Amino acid sequence: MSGRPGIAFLVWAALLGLLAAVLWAVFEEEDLLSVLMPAFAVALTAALALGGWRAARRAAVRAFAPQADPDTSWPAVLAGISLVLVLLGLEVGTFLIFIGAGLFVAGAGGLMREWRAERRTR
Amino acid sequence: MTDTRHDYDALASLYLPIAAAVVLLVLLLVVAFAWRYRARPAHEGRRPSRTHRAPRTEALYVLVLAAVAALLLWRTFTVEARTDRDASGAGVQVSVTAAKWHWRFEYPRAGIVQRGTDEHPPTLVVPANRTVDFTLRSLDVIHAFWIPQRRFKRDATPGFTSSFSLVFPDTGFRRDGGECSEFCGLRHTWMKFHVRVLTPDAFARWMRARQSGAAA
Amino acid sequence: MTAVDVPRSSTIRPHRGLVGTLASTDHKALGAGLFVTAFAFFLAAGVLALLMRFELARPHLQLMTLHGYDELFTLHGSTMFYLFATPIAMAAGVYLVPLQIGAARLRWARLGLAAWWMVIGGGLCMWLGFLTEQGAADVGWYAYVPLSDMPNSPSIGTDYWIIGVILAAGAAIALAACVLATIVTERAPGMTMLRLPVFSWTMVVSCLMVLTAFPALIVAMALLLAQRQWGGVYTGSAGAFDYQHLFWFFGHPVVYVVFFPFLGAVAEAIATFSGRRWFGYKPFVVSLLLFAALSMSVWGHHMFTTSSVENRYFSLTSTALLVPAGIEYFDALATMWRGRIRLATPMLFALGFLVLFVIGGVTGIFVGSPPLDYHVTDSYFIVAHFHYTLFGGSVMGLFTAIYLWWPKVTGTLLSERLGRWHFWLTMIGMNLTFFPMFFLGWDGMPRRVADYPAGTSWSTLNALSSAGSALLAVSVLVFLWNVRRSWRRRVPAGPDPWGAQTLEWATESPPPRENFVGALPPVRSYAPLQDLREQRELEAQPA
Repeated sequence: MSGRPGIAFLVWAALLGLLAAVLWAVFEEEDLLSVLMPAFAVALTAALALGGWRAARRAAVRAFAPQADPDTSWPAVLAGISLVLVLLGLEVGTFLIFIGAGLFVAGAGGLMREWRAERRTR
Repeated sequence: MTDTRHDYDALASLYLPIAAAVVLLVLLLVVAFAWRYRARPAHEGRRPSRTHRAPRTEALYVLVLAAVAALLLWRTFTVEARTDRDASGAGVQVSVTAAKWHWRFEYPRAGIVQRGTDEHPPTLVVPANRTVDFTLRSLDVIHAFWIPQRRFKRDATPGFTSSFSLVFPDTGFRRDGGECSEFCGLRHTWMKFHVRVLTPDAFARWMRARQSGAAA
Repeated sequence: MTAVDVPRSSTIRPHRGLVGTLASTDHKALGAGLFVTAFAFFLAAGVLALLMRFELARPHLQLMTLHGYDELFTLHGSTMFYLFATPIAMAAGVYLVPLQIGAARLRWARLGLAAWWMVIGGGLCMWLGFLTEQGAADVGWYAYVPLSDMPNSPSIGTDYWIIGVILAAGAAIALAACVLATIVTERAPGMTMLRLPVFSWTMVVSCLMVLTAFPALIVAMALLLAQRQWGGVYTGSAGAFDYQHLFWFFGHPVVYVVFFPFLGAVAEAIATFSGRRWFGYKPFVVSLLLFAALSMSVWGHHMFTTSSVENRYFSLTSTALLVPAGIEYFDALATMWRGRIRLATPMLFALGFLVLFVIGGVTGIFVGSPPLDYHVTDSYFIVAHFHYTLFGGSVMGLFTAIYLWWPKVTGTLLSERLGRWHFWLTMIGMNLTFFPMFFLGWDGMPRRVADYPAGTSWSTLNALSSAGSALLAVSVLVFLWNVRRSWRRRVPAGPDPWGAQTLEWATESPPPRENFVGALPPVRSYAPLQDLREQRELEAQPA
């Protein structure tokens, strides 16, 4: 697991930055979104590069051990469905937002339990 | 004076042959290679080539590609500078208003208004071979003013007035010569206008007639 | 719901059944589930297209109202992008990336699982509009303001549609994060980034674009929802242009998100069926990064006619795209050169991709020139252009992927004979459907119209196009027949029926729960099995 994915991300952020710089400096684009959106893209990619660097190093240190993932995760399914209900509730009615939020909490709780169980077996 | 259609045709006559050549080249190479290098039982022992890089060839190829891009861009920028030049202010002025789902043409200097109804779209009347300066606006949603014969369209965004100039070389009447090309709701399909190009003398006569109250 | 303790060297394949699959954290089940969901939406969106083509086959309205037609093209485009193409691109990554990189799992699999359910829920929300009184969203898949604002589009179907888009976009971001995290941390020993298989590299750039571009869509949609509810968000012409900037900052990269993974599949197929490793790997990787970076910088070319963007900049970046695209074609053809080519079905679709996508590509360069775009944008010319890239590119590449990896996923083989029928019907049907549209647009037929004047060449061209769409429908039926037949016959495929090159072919078909049992082949390049094959050939030669 050697190798540095961060470099690929940094190269990409640099390319994005270069292209955005041409837009701002050479073509003098001042539209706020045309500045913000590319800047966000560059910043996020640079952050991924940094995060990726550290994560790859940590993963290399960790032994290549089988993970004790549970085979199914109904809390995850619940979390996904409850998000659907919350958003749908914006149109259908507030009651659905509450139902969705409640289910989301239940799902999140289940996920917490799964994570803690995994940490214990690691 | 920019003839947008002439400029379009000139630019397209650069782009299209290159495009067609590239497509034909790819088709030819794909078919030729699939045939020439097909696996044949008689040649079971023949090993496929193991070469997997050719950096100098690829670098040269990249330069060729960049040169093609540069050529296309140079011609495009040249033409666009003409097409997008601001209205001169000297020619006939037409003010175009788009609203769901009709067009209205006003000739502010002459006080003429061409309106459309559900049954009869309005006719844009213009003189031949004279620059016509347009302003374009919308009253509700985004529409787009498209005259295919002139190879030109522009969006009409509410709250924003755009301006452009067109020249109409050939006289004649084109039914539905203009269309709305930005989806604007239910009757977008039928939001069209006719285009009538008159000789400058006939145009002057038409304007006088309209000013004295004749029908559009 | 207890944890399954999988012994390291076992080949236990837990029997899940359908219910277990719906909640499985095994990336293979998740990938398969996403694939089936997305393909079902592909069929649904295809039916909408068939209805539109039936209506347009002759002038005047035959089948539907103007309003019905508006709903059809809105839901066709939206379903294709949000519910089919993006999820299926992510599905390919979810299933294949861990296998290609020698990993046992997908990272953050539960996040991916939740995302799958968001795609299902989001899709249902979008289509729920058809059941409402005023019908589904009818504002076009890009839903420009002010058209999509409440006064112009009061139907609740549009609100449901917005919610569906937000859910689908959020799901895509989650899935992209999972795949990217897996590539960062789960690569097998020896697999540096520059030994990632070609397909996995295409997933890297796709996921990067999802993470950096899709948030703009969520912002655009959330603000649109707020605008419809309370107003005051998108005001005046600045508001209209802001919406377009937000939307297209997402809207251009998305077409590359749904393209690159299938370009990767085509590359793997061409290499495999030419008996050679992919040519020009390093230039290819650089060109992928450049291609993706450019694709993030061209969004204004959708706004050339608005007079509100720097046309020259966006023309520059758009035209520059021909450089990385050219490199990819060079590498594809160079891989075939002096190879030993077998025209199995995956290879047929890969070659079809090469020939069809280039038509989309060169017409894309054409409309990258503002004066040319002024005529053909928003006409049937542009509809033809993007269908050549999306169908001729992504869909052909998708079928390449399906025929290539079907044996690995299911452990069985698809029929080559039916595959050839599928391929040729697709090639003829696709060109018959979309090539006439170039002429229609050039001649002045705008897009998003349910009707056109009778008595012109448009009638013939539209009739040809509609006939082509019927052929495409038949081609898809042939494919479904092939699937059904293969499912029933179950001809065993074995681990590597094609003589392929990457790690996923070094395990059983279908792979066991933890993907690999025992030691992996050594990873010394981006084509480890090809390395072994070439080494064996060298050793077999007489001294």
